[in-house]
Amino acid sequence: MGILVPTLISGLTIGVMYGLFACGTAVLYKATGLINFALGGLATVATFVAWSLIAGQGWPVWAGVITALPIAAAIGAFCYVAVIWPRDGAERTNLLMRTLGLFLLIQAVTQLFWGEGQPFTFPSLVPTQGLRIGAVHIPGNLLAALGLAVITAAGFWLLFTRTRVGLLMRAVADSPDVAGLLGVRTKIIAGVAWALSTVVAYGVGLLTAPTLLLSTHMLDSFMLFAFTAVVCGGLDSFAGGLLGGVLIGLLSTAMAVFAAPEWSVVSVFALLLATLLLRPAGMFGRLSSERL
Amino acid sequence: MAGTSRGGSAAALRGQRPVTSLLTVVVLAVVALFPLQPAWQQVLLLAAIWASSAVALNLWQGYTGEISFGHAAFAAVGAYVGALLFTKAGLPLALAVLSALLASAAVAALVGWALVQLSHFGSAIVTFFLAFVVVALLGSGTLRGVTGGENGVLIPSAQIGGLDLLDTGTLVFVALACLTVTVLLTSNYASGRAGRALLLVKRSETVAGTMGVDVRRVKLTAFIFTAIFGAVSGILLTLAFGYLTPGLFDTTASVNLVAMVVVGGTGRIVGPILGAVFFTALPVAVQGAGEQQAVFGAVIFLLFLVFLPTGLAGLPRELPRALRRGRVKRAETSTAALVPQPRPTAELLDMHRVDPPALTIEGLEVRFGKLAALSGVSLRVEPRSIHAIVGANGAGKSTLLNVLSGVQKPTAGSCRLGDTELAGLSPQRMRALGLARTFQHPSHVADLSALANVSLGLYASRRWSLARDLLGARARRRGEEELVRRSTAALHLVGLPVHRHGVPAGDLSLAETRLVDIARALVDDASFVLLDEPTAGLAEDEMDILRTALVRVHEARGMSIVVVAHHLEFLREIADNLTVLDSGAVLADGIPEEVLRRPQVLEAFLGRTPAGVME
Amino acid sequence: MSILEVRALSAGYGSARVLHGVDLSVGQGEVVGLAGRNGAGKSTLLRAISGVIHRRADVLAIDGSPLPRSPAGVARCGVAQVPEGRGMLQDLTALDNIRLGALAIRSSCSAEWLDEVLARVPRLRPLLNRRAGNLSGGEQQLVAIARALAARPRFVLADELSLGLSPRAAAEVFALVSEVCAELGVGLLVVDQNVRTLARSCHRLYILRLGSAFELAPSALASGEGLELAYM
Repeated sequence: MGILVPTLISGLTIGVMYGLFACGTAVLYKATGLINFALGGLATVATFVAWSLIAGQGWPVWAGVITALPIAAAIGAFCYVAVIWPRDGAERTNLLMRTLGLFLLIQAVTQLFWGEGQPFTFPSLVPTQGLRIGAVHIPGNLLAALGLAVITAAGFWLLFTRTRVGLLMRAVADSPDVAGLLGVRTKIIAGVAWALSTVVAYGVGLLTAPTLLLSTHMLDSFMLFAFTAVVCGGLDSFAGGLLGGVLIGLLSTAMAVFAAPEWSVVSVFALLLATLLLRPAGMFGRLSSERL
Repeated sequence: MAGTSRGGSAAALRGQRPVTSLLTVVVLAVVALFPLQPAWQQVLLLAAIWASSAVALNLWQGYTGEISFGHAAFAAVGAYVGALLFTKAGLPLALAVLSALLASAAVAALVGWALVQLSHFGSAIVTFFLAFVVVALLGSGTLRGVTGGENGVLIPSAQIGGLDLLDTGTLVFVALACLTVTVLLTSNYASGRAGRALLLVKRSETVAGTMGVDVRRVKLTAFIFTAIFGAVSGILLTLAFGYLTPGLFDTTASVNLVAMVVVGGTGRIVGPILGAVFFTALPVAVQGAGEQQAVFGAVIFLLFLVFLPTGLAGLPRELPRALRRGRVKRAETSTAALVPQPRPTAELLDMHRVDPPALTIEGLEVRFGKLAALSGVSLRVEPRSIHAIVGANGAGKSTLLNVLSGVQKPTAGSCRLGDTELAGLSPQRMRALGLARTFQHPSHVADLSALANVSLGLYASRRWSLARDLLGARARRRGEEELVRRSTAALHLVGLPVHRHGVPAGDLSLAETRLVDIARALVDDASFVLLDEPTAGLAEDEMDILRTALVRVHEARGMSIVVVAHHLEFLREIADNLTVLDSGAVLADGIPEEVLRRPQVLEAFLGRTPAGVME
Repeated sequence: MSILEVRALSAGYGSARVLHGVDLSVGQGEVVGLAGRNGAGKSTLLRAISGVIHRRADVLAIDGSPLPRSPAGVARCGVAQVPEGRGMLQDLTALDNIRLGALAIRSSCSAEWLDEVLARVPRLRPLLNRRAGNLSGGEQQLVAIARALAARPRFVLADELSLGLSPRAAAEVFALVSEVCAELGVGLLVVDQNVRTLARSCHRLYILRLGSAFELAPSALASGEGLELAYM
């Protein structure tokens, strides 16, 4: 029993982070219809940029972290313009492969600039003591994850309901053809979506780097688990993504603790397959013309 | 594989032999004979090894248009199973290798069974994840006792008939020999019946289904085929290094395989070989640290994906096309070629008449939630008649055709062909019963010749095995000769000029592709042909040719024809009966001239006068 | 003075050429109908004008300035759309759909203008916060019209206004659109299957047949004679 609660808390913590990454993936999918296999790499690169400012240039932690945020957005938008925008009428398989190529490229670039001396430590952004509620100890990580989730949710809500860009993004997500007919510049919206999803992923990178240790491949398996969360929750549902993430966080942590680390990978894979075969729309998604 | 211009011989179907690929292998072998620097020797070896995987992967990626982002997983399975059986269990080498191939095939069957039910997103995520899972398991603590975990497995020695397989010099030739076998088998697969079916599946799974193709099975077979050659690469790789670790088969290796196929070119067998050479040579050719090469490689991959998706092997075709862009329009040049053909002699035609029963539709209903696409449709198609169906968009014409071809299951009502109930049968079963259809949107395979496209109509007509395609040259040739004979006869019947039979369907004019569609529908002696808007987009003279073809086909074979079209003038001339659909129900039914004069029909076309509304 | 001028427009899909040299024009404040059987190319013509498909023309201009290639560019030239099937953004509210008409091409949408638009379609006021996908066909049609008006267009393309509506509702919608456009001096090109209704509500009428458009004589318009001949 003594191990159950910490396992649950640990699973919940990483689950929320999977869920956040899933939301970043979902934003991009809703706006462009694409799953971005390079998102993990984008998050890692942005985190490396922050790290360079902090450990390399000696900046205060928060200064580095905040400065890297617009840089993350810019990197995301730039990748869209360079890799997807040209000849964007290509087939879906071609576009998916481009994100894969981008995955390769980003990893190679990361190795090129920061390959020496990996892995690196990354300062934690929150005090690790956390809170005590009654007999339960809530570690700083979980608080940070939940905090970021709340901020992201609030941010998304404000963006989508109160801003013009948000309205345009919702329009494009609903029906890109009609939106185009009405005059929405769908390509610009796509660029914004890429920037936004990179920023969200960067947030996840910041939270996970202290534990996972900063390295080129830091988010490789993380991204796969998060994609599974997206699938389980429903490709176009944010709430679903978060819930799916928590589910997978709990499942994978439990497997790692009670069985062995490799079984957490296998069990999540099994969950992915099961969802795709039995309930492709996920928990909350709508079975649209784009079948999974 | 593009068709040749020779019509009438079995070669017309087979497409080109893998001459370029075999020549390339020979060139590589010759290069291997020269004394090379160790680095380049290694390049040659690795290129030869990975080329096998890449060539086979092309069957999945290029031919079927599917995705596999984790194919190195099969190399890993093959390598580990083979190595462990050989070193730890002490099996003889040949047996170990065979078991490895079987193991890989088994894993592929399992994963593939799921994969063929998913769309591209699902495939992408699942295969990407798969590579990860396999590597994680192989390096894991649980299996450390067996696999050696992160440290891997050491191969102390391996010999076959006195040849030391661990010697690089020998292994290169072994690898090239394996590549030759891969090339030959893949080429036979691709240019045979299964390969053509894969191209059709890539074009449209629905259309393939109506030709009698079991889409899932065809895809699964292809996937397993590619996995087997992945295992071959894995085994050779183990011998190349003399040891085995999970890291050899990580995500980068899988993505590199995809890159090899893309950069090399998906349309031809030689493409992946070029891609393999390119990516294995890259680290050595580009002077600089390993990371810079990786960046360079990734950039090349992306550049090809964006600007030259058909790869290096596709250059010969793309370059002239890019230069020609904006000038001559294809449609204009080839319409001139389509003049009414003289009636062919009886010898040229397969003149057996079919005996269609009546088609009786009663109370047919198709509902999508609250929307009734068809409600209570009843009509009868007399044997041997040409029956036209007209109506506004949304009136239910496409739904009706989809029900009659098995693509859509009705919610209520019955469709009987003679005594057989059709409602609920699969498209493949409908085809077997003699119902064939054409599609409004292009459904031909652009890269196959007109003749090869028509031969797809005979897909389900005879017993056949993949093994025969792969291995049996003579038996295969006989089968193909019959396909050619019947397909040529069908094309003669519809009136496509002989010199157009061998032209790739993508280069035909719209009217010609319509003729090909009809030929494909009737080549297997269908007793019931459904034509879905055959006149859409045609000019008046082209419609005349189409009409002539239909009349001739009908006279010669005597099948029942159901035509859905908008062009009333066209239908007036050929239809025996006309049914008007409106909002999912039958509005009128009878002789065309009479039906088109009825007030309700005119109203349906021109619009009702709103009564009692303020002007 | 014509708002929309089209000369020798050709368009098609791949090797299928549907339109061969279409000529038509719409004047300021004029309501022009476009009829034709299914498959004649009405949707193709609208798609060509909107830039959704590739087209060639000697002249394709709004108020003298040539229309750009992309749909978004065409919309920004002052062409508003009431698409076939209404083109509702299902998950957005009716109000959001209407605001989108303005915000897609401008950075802001003033409350006064919104009010003016809604004044013309008062039936929508109680429905503004409902999810567009939950509205009835007729209500969605009104939202689509309001959305087009919100863009302050010079020209409106309306595709199959009567689809899915009862004859009475269709007539009301037609009347509304024609009145508003005539009042605002906006050119209107209405495409519909229902030739008779078009003949009643339009100043002029074209019939699309075998890839070209020909104008129906005004007398035929009034009496309804010759429609069958032209059509069937």
